[in-house]
Amino acid sequence: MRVLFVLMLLAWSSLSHADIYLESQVFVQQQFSGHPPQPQVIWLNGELKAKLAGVLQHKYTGLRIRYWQGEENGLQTVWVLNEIGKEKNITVGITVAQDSIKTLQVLAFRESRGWEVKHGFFTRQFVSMFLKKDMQLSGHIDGITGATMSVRAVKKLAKVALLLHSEVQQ
Amino acid sequence: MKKTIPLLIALTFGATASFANEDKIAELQAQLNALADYVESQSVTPSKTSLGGYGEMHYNNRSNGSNELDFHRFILFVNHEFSDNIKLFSELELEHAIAGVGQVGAIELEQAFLQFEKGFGTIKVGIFLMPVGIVNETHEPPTFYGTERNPVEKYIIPTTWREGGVMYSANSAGGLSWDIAVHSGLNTTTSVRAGRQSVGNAVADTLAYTGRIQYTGLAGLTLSASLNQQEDMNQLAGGLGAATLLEGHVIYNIADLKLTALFARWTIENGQDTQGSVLEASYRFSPAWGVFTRQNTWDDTGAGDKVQYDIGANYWPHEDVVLKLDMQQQNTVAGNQDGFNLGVGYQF
Repeated sequence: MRVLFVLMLLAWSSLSHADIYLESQVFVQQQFSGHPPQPQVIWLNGELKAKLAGVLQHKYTGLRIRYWQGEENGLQTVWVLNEIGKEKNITVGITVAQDSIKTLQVLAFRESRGWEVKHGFFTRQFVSMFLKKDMQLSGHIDGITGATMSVRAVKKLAKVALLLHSEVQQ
Repeated sequence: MKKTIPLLIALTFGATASFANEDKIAELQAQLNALADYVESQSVTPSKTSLGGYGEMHYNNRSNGSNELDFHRFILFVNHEFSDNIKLFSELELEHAIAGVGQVGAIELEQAFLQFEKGFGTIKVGIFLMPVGIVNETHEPPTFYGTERNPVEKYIIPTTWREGGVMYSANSAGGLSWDIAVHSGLNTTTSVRAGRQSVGNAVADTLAYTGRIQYTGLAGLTLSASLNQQEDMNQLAGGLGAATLLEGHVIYNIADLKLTALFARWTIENGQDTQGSVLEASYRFSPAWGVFTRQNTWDDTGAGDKVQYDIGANYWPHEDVVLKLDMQQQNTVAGNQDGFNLGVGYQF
């Protein structure tokens, strides 16, 4: 047992660190077939900040949010957003087209627990979901035991992307 | 012709002015974005040190037992990021509100470990929670039903269980994860729960080993199995000898319905084997309300099965704040402590 453990430590020490699964710019490029448009920004006025606070359950401190918009899939927007799970930011890339989520991918995870949210079996649940009038997602997202706060953070970001998409379409 | 020339001149000047305005607007937009970049860079620089915590206060009203009001746990997390792949996680706990000589409570270091992250997994070195059971690692009050933690994990596993040592953890893309740890062992002549040394001058004549394999590859499903091997339960000073804990649990979410089953068994070479099981069903009516029922069966003394039934509700006025009410009924072996419990808890 002790020998096995030492061998695993040695294997671990020879490999490089990565809690960034996909660089943001690579995600954006993928969403536009390698040719992303210039980024745009949405400025956050008081009304929009209040809506964001309602979704996030805390104030959003930034002045504006960057996004990319193109003609793919009708008219799609791409967002790279951050939210704290328990203590550290989780970075999520979200593509919205026709008012529903086309792609959701965890790009970076920095928490000590809850890493399960990065996997496709979890993120695929968000595809085709839209935002209802009560600001809830249109379907149920199955949680992951031990990853409650990470699941919650990703759900919030999905709602934020859908909300912002509807704002920039107006 | 006389009218056409002035018109062309006016259009030419107009177009030139329009282009000039567009250039000016683009320049102003660039300046505004540069200003916003600066303001945001000043305001959102994240600290490398973070603070968190949780707490819970309980009121127990039970026949054949004392009625108590207890601020059971007050916990602070202080974490620090030395670099992208070297981090400190710590958890300091005050139990039962007051600590000191002759007092009921205690101040305890529940976790304090350095985490080294690599592409193939993480290494924890220090005091960490054993990867066994459900609530041993995840026990913030808003994350579970019932005012008190279930008695099977408390008396059999025994939660909260921490040891000092080294743990390696990794996971695969398919939702499979595994942990393997070498750490300090128990030291007891009586119960497993009494054998926790809390890494305070812990006798370390023998070691212990823990492994866990967990599958979460299907949405809503968790399958987990843990094995703990103690080289000697009394650190070579007594006669209990080696011991093995086997624990497994299944959690399945079907929309807002959650079903949980857990089984744990200690096999002790020269002592009394112990075991227990938990069956729980819960339903989340809304983000604010959920109800549950639970059956706990355990034998930690060899006197026969203790059984406790729980039924109750959680109310979350905020996602990180919970109010709890539950009723419990026990059989005679468990002490017939029937009654109700109230709780309030938070995390941040």
